[in-house]
Amino acid sequence: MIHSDSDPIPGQLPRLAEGEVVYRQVSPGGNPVFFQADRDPPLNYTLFLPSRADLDGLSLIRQAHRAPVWAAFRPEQPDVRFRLAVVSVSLLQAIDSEAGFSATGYKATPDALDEQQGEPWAHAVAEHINRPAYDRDKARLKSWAKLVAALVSAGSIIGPFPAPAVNDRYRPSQADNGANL
Amino acid sequence: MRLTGPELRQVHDAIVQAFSLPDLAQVFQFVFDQPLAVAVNVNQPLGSATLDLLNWAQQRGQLAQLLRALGKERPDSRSLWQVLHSVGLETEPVTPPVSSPTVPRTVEPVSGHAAVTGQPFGKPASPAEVGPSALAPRALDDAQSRVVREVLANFKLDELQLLVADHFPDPFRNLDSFVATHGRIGEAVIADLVRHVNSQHLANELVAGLRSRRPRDPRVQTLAAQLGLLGDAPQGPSPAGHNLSPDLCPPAPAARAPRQASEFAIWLGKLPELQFNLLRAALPLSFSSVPGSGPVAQRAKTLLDWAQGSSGPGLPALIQLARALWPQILTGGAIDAAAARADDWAIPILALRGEQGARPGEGSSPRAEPRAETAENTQAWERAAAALRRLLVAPPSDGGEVPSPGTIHAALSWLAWLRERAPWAPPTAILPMAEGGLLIERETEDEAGHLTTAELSLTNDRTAEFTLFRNHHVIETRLVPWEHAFLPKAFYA
Repeated sequence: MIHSDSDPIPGQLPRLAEGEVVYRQVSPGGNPVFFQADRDPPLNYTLFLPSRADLDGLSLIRQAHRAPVWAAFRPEQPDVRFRLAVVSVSLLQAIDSEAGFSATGYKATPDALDEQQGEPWAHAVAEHINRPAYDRDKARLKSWAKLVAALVSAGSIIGPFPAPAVNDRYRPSQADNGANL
Repeated sequence: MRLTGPELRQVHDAIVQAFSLPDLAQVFQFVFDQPLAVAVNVNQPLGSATLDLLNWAQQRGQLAQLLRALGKERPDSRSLWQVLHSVGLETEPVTPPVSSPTVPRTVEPVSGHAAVTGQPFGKPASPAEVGPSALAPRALDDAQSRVVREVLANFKLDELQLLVADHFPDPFRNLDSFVATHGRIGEAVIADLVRHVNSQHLANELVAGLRSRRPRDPRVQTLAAQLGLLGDAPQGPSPAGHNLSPDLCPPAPAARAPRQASEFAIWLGKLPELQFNLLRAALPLSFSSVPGSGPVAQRAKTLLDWAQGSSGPGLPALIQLARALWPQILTGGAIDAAAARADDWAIPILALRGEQGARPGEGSSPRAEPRAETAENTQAWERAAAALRRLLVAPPSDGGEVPSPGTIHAALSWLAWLRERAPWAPPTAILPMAEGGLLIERETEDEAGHLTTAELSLTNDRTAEFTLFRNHHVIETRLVPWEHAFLPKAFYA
């Protein structure tokens, strides 16, 4: 059963709803350095693999709770201009099935900006896409990341964005939530 | 206010001549009440920071405000004022009072019409012109593509880069980068550009860009008229004459749409439930219209109706998405591991003994179907190696992780090893890894649309791994030797 964070399970992290849309930050330098002209340049699937720091899961940002200019910003890397891959939780869940995951979880967990701005938390993780799981079952997590990359078209990448200014709205407007999927 | 590519270059050069980075930071702080670092990376050369700053201000509609402030700060800079005048920002005499630091008079309010309309100051838009975004996305036909290639052949490299930067919605797909990779404009880079424009249906944007740079070229005017950029109905060849051959990736030519829609509906209706749900899941906006359960044939028809309705993305977008899902949808998720293991790279790499124990030069397994290296193959191998060598000399400075020199050398040695064993099978892509390293990839698609991807990942901490994918699913993943000792001198030439 899927819960939204308006209906959290007491004592547990709020789960993301099926209809939610999330961002994944795309770092600069993800472009191919070479590709053949007769093929499309691939979207770099390693963007969807857990890093060594992703012990609790792959980081995502909830479109409904953080405006793109802030979602593309990391306080600890203020000079790096990230892009955002836009993807729905339902698509990720369908890929979970395709990749053969039996236990999955998309949960909101606070990051530094959430600590400043308060609830509802905008940061979330795909709990099952974590580094220890990757080290145990590389094939499954690579398949998952490859499928996500195949299904997130280049048109679903937005940005890069300038660094947010103090007067930039933190919570998204309706227009922000119409971001291209 | 929006500058054309040449204007942007003029303004950029004038600012770089007139300001140091600390001076720019000071003006920025005074004007925007924020440190320059909120807008650009200040730990980069002045030229790059200036270009980033101009783009930043242009994106926010604050370019005129910035340029006026810079002009005020340098009232005695003749070159800066000439440039500001040439882009229509000021009506003051070009020759400023050299002996007196009088601040030049500005004639447009900060929030003037230029910022609102997006037109350059002093250059009202012709009412007959139509912006590229107002027209349906389309590709060029063969004849139009040929004309575009002829026109672009006279462009300088930086002119082409500015065209790409100015007129394409998002250069994420690396157009400017691969222009840089080629190093000069030749037939190959122009062919790549035209191919990209056609596959992404960006013909309107490209021709609008050509018009801004070659406004008097009759060939460009003819193209603009054919596409309807002059405000007339599109003339000339039918948009159906695009360059894309597969049935399932066209830009919805009207005459074909009904047949295509019905074929697509039949095909959708035969999908296994899991695969149909995967397609539906990729379109969350369809949820309110298309039920999550029920007979697939019925839901497929509903999905198609929704896609073509006012709230849907249109048939071409749906087909494009389905094409991205093609292998899974077509095969029902069936994976043919044996076919993947017969891959040109998989055969020699999987024949390497042990996971870590193989020595350089090992793995000379029999070649499945030895073929000669064609001229096209040779070019691909050499372009891949050249791209790696270029990384050694000029690593990217965009804030991402950079492959270490050791990783690049290892990649070069792998290229040499693979070229010796499968000269007919060059890589299709080399990608940087998020955590530092390189992926060398060869993706092939068979006649039935099944994808096989053979991939070597080389990380900066000196681990090397081979992964074999079939239709995006991992068939095999194993550690392999970090590098090969044998490296022809040609790779370092």
